[in-house]
Order: sequence, then C-alpha cells, then structure tokens
Amino acid sequence: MTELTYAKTGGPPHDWQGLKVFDLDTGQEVLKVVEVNTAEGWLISYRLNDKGMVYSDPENPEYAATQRIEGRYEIRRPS
Amino acid sequence: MNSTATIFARLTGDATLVAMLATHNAAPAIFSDRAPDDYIVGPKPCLVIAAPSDDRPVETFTETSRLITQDVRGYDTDTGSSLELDAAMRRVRTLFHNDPGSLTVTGGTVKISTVTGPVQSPTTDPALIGRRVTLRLEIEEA
Repeated sequence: MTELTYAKTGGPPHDWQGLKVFDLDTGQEVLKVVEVNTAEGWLISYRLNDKGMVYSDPENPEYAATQRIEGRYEIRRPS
Repeated sequence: MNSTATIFARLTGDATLVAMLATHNAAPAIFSDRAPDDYIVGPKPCLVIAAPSDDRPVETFTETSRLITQDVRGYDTDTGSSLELDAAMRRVRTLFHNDPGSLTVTGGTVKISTVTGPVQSPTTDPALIGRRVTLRLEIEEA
C-alpha cells in the first residue's frame, strides 16, 4: 500500500478513521489531529485550554480553535 | 448520547442534594426543560435541566467526541434569603466540576466535566429567585 502523505477527517482517504500521526523528531504520536500533510510538513490539530478541553475559536465561535504546526510527520494506518 | 439523562442521573443519585430539594409526585423536584404546569415552587428549591445550548462534534482521526454546554437552573421562592438555593446550586457544582468519572452516559465516556457558576438566572415571576450553573462536558463516543 502506498504511503499516505495527506489525510483529513471526513476524508480523504476513505479509511481516515483510526489513522495515527507521529512526529518523526520526537517519535511521539500527535493527538487531536484533524488534517495532516506530510509532504508539505504540517498538520492541523485542535487547541486545548488549561483544562485539556477543546474550546471555541474566539474569532469564529461556531468552530473549535485549531492550530497549524509545522514539522516532520508520518501517517500510519492502524495495525 | 443523552447528556440530559446523564445529568439527571447524577443529580437524583446524590442523597445530599435530594435532601435539599422539594419533591413532586414523591420524586425530587428535578425537571428537564421546564417544571410541569401543576408544580408550585417552594418551600424548598427545585432544579431544571435545560436543553443543551451547544452540542458540537469534535472529531479527530482517533476520537469522536461531542462538546456539550448545558445549564442546570435552580428556583426558589423569594423570602429575602437565597441561602437554601445557593447551597443547592453549589452542591450541583460539586457533583460535576472536574469529576467526569462519576458521570455515566450510554454510548460514550465523559472525559471532561467543568462547571461555571452558580450565577443569577432571571425569572419571569417576581416571587421567585433563580440561579444557574453551566456544565461543559466533553463526551467521547464509544
């Protein structure tokens, strides 16, 4: 199976549920990811408040606050 | 996932809170959405679990959760003192704030539960006083 370089909640790919994203520099799984592009080196994840909760974006209250983080990532399918 | 049922179960399952509240038809005066037409507030407080004011999905690759905001309001007769009502509402806060493990929800797990309040809640009847707490629940779907 070809390596995934892009994924987003809701697809693509069609089997997006259960995908995991790892930070290649730390080896750790990155949580709360909603979109990732390993070829371009970025991901988007939900921001968490000091209670560890997802919260509304103050500028767009209809949506949860997100952050874009650049780095080296790998997408893995569940084993 | 029925957050109202989760809240109701937590409230009715606490003997300390139940002792602070009035009764209606031999049950604690805890209602959802609004009190029944035949219910008269007093001599002890009653509670109303409001419909969620916000319920949105929080979906990642590995989690499907819902972020729910829901009020619990309390009412009592205006006797010049809000001691009983305030005590009941503080008990409600204690039952939910930072205690997700005590909450059960069919089809999911409460991961985070926080509370703000109690604060004043307006009433249409000048003979009543009102308070409310706002619950924020993050519930991960099973």
